[in-house]
Amino acid sequence: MELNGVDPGTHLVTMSGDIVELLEVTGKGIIARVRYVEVLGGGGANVNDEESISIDDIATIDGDRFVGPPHTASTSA
Amino acid sequence: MLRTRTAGRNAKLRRGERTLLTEEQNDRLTLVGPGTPMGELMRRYWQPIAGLSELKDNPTKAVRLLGEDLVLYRDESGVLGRIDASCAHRRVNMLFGIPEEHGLRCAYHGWLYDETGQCLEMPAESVDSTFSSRVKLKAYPVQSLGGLVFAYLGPEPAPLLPHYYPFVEEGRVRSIGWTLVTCNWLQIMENSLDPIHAEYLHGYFSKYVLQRLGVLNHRGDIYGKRPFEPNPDAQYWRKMSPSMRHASAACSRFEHGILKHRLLEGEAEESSIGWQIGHPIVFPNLESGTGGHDFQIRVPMDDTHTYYVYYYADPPREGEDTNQAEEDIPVYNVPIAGVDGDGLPIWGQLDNNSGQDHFAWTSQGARTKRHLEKLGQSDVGIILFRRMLSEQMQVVEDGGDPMNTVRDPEKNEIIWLPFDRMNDEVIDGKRATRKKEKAGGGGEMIPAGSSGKFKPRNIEHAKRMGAPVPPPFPSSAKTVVEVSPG
Repeated sequence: MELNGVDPGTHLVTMSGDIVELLEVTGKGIIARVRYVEVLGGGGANVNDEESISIDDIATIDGDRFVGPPHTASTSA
Repeated sequence: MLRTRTAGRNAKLRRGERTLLTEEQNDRLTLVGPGTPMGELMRRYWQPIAGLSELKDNPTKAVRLLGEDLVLYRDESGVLGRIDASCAHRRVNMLFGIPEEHGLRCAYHGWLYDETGQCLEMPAESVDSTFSSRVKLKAYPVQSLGGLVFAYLGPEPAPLLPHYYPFVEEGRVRSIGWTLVTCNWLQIMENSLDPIHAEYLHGYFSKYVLQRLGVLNHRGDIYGKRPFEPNPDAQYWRKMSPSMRHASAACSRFEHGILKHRLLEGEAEESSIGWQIGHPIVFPNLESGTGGHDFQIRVPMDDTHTYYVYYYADPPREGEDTNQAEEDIPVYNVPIAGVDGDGLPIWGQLDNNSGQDHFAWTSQGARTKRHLEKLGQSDVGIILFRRMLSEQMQVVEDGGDPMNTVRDPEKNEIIWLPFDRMNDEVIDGKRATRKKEKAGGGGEMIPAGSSGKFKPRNIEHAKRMGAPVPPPFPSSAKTVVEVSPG
């Protein structure tokens, strides 16, 4: 997920379903430093762990509605 | 603690080298036997196991549910029971049992059991023996509703059997299709959380299939810029579906599960019912069908087999009786797509939505290896569903009642669900009829969706109207699972 314009402190959903807090975006916009807020059972992370993850590991912004990409490739092609 | 992904569960930053779910997480989400986290969650819900009308001609039925083998029966007084498949005496299969006025009698030595599994008679034992009072088979409660028989395998007290509107609303004509799908239940349910697949599997791929069958001269292009071209010389049973093109997709939680939202090309968010209201997926294993009065229910038989129910409550066509007795609601088989002797697709099996879905689910393998998959941002519905399943497994592990278990009789009189093709009454969570519901649920041709191709009611109607009917279902040499690495 592209993180341009997403503020630090925002809660994000990872591809594996964990909730993380965005701390900062580095690596020319493709790496996010995050803190785990909620983790699913059976995985390796723990709450409050901090990690640097690829923006491709982030699915969407946490909220009432999990929203996909704003425009699918089919509509922009 | 600051960690970078140079070691551990997600070792690389580069896309494609990380682990989405661990194998352990995949096991938690998919395995359904006794004592597994998902098995314990699924046991908190009533699960359909048969059509009541099946028991008219054959009063016993072997049923595997959540990894447990039992026999469903209906005795001569109409009482339903579901007991251990093996007699306590010599382990003979109770499928061959004799229904009595009260209970099911083993064919071998006549031991008689009631619906609680209690042994009532041992004819060869002494008349003053009390042995039978101390013999009890495993048994689970069963109830019928809307022509379906449901079983509950969880702890007592059981929740109420939910009265979702398709099961109980008046003035409908009901029918029940079923398929035995040779894969794990979760990859089937995840299909329901994935609105985009309709655009490709049921859109572009579907038109490719019709091109292979000679129904279309050209399938068009994937982006809809070039329209498909029908073969003017071909007459086929199905009508062409208009192309569905998504501008965006989303999923949200609601009281009974998840609402799947679609915004299609040309629609505005503010006025799109599909975006504002959405399409309900009822937790944990039902989806509302596209007709709004039908369900597709994915019942885990075990870790690699799913009993798939297509439940329809259609508006009546002229002359049809809406006062069906539950035991008269017809049940029909929906055959599953396979492959030929060379392991290649059989195109005549894939010309409808259910065949396309069957092929897709089973080609993912008997139980999808989620630790090898790569999700994208368009898979947010799948991610939300997995998250909810994990949350609810935890609720059960903590001793609670998971979501969407019904215990208040007043709330269970009839449970309405929001639905994207309904009228404005939907906004308050109530709804009456589809905006454009046609008497009979469609025109003279057979709808391509779900199991419409195989529904006897549709075929009979098409014949009456002089419309084309589907050709015989081609036979398969192997299952798709057998030729798919997963």
